[in-house]
Amino acid sequence: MKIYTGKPASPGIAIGPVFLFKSQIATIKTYSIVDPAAEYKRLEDALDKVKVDLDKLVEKMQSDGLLEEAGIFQAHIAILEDPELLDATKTLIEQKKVNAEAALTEASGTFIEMLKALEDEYLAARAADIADVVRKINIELCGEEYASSSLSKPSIVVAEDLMPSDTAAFPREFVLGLCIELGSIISHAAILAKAMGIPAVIQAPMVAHKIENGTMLIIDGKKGEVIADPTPEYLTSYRAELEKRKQLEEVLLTRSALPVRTKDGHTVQIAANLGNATDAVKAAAMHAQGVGLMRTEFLFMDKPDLPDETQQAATYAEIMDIMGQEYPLVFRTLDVGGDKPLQAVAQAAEMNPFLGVRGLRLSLLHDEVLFKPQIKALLKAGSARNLFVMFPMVTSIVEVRAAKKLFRRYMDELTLEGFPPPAHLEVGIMIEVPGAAVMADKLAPEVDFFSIGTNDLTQYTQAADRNQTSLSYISDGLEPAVLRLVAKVAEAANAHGKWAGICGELGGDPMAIPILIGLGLHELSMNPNAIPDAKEIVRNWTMEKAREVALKALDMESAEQVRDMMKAYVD
Amino acid sequence: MEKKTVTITNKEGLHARPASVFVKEAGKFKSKITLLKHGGKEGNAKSILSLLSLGIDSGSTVDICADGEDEVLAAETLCNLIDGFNKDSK
Repeated sequence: MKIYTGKPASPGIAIGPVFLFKSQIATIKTYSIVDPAAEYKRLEDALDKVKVDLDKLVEKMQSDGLLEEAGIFQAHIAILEDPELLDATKTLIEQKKVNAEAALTEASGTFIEMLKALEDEYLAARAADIADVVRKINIELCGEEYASSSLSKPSIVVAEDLMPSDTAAFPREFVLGLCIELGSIISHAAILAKAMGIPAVIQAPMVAHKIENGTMLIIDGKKGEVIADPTPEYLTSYRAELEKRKQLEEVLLTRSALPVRTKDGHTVQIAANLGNATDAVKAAAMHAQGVGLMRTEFLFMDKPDLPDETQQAATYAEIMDIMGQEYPLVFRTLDVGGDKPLQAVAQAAEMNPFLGVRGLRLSLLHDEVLFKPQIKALLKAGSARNLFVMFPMVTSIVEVRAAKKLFRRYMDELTLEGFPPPAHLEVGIMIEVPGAAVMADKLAPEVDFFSIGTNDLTQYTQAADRNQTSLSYISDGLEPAVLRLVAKVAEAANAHGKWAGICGELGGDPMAIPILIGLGLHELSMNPNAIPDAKEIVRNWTMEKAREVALKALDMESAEQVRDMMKAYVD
Repeated sequence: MEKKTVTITNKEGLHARPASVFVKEAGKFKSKITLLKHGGKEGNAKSILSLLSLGIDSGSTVDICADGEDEVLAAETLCNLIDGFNKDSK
């Protein structure tokens, strides 16, 4: 047995065999070239390929709920597209007549040295990010395959150093823990380990050189200890510790399965927002009380042809099977517009796509190819079962009536075709246009429920594009202007005996949750990862106290004031 | 030329993630935009490597200089963006 002492980087205990990992580095040969233009082309092709990989990685992390961490790879994209690095590389190719790999390595080396020389430890650690990006481009330039690791059974990954993209690329189910010889707590590899809940120890001297592949290893991510070839006594005591923690986690998850009530007994439904059928599995695992928003865009986007009624019905039925019938599963009809056009439906270019033909407006305009097949598919899948459907981007009662009329017609058609109507049917609308929020009392009699899309409602209320970072000071969903509209919608729903929920990002925001339940919303729908925490928050509040903070928030001047008030209750 | 001076109070300075947001925003403008760290070097605001190598840590003061047809809007927007970062870290 040998104990190595490193630094704790991510808490938790891992026990398992060692998987020795070495980052793939292309062997760079320097050679002379005659045609710089051909070298530029090779370089640009390689950059394009790596960009595609990075885009995919960012998307994967975002859909896993790792929003902060996806930012790491957005920074990698910025490095890849850096004009100074590109210029310096091209200049070297041109002047020294060397190949792209050699030029890129030299050019990036200058930046890496500059960063390493900085006093600020955090910025100096970013040198690893440049090295990671350059490594990937070089692998591409040398024509090597980027080998995603051969990790194929649960192991503890031991490495001299880990690049951020290595950490993200390991199949999560096989990584029991990470043990790194170098690294720093602020390295992106460490940040990722923490976000993914993988125990990790860094700066463990010589581990990658002394420990052999397959050795039994214990790592304690809290103490920063690494034990190779543990004695049976050590193994037994650490296994017991690991078991204890597992039980603790199970207790939390079981608590997550319990009904969600405030301290004074008011029930609130905590549901999930989903983007595809795979998400549904995750939502079920997190004990989501149904699905407040099932997006259907994944069936339509990036496809040359529209999905037909049968294809759609099969997918909807599959999702219904996974989620069961115990809680509502709300399908939202297609929500696209000029900013993310459909390949299969020609749409005129719009000056203001966010104010253009989108959501229900587009579906109604193309009833035959969009609305009709989708509604009939939903009704087929929901035949003799529970079915919840809602329409996005509704502004006027005229649109609601038109959509409902068509809906009824398609239901009658299907009955004739031999599909009985749903056992229980609710048709609702999204409230994301301020005009619809203001008119909620008139809309309420027409619908079974409201679901407030706070992202768009905020953007339209504040007239601030949510992707404009420079406008973030007015695009917080906790702006009292937005909250007043939410209050109006909840009030209108309650007055007409209907229910209202939230399916925007605000629904999962720990600072917003007490205010939202205080305003009288029945359901909060959010990213599945946020569910266990949201349930605990609801359980820690009384409705009386929630109403009190909600009323105070409505009377405040700005989102900043609201957040200042709520800070006292969080963590 | 339009110049704005701003102090970074965000506790981690202009590190990788904010820097990538900043560079992306700067890239939207036609003007040539440079960042001058007081007591330090000058760098290209559209280059993340250039920005990172200025070593803009918490407490640094920088001049945002924009030169071109949209210089006023560029300097104003980027200055607001840094204010936003400062607020986020509070």
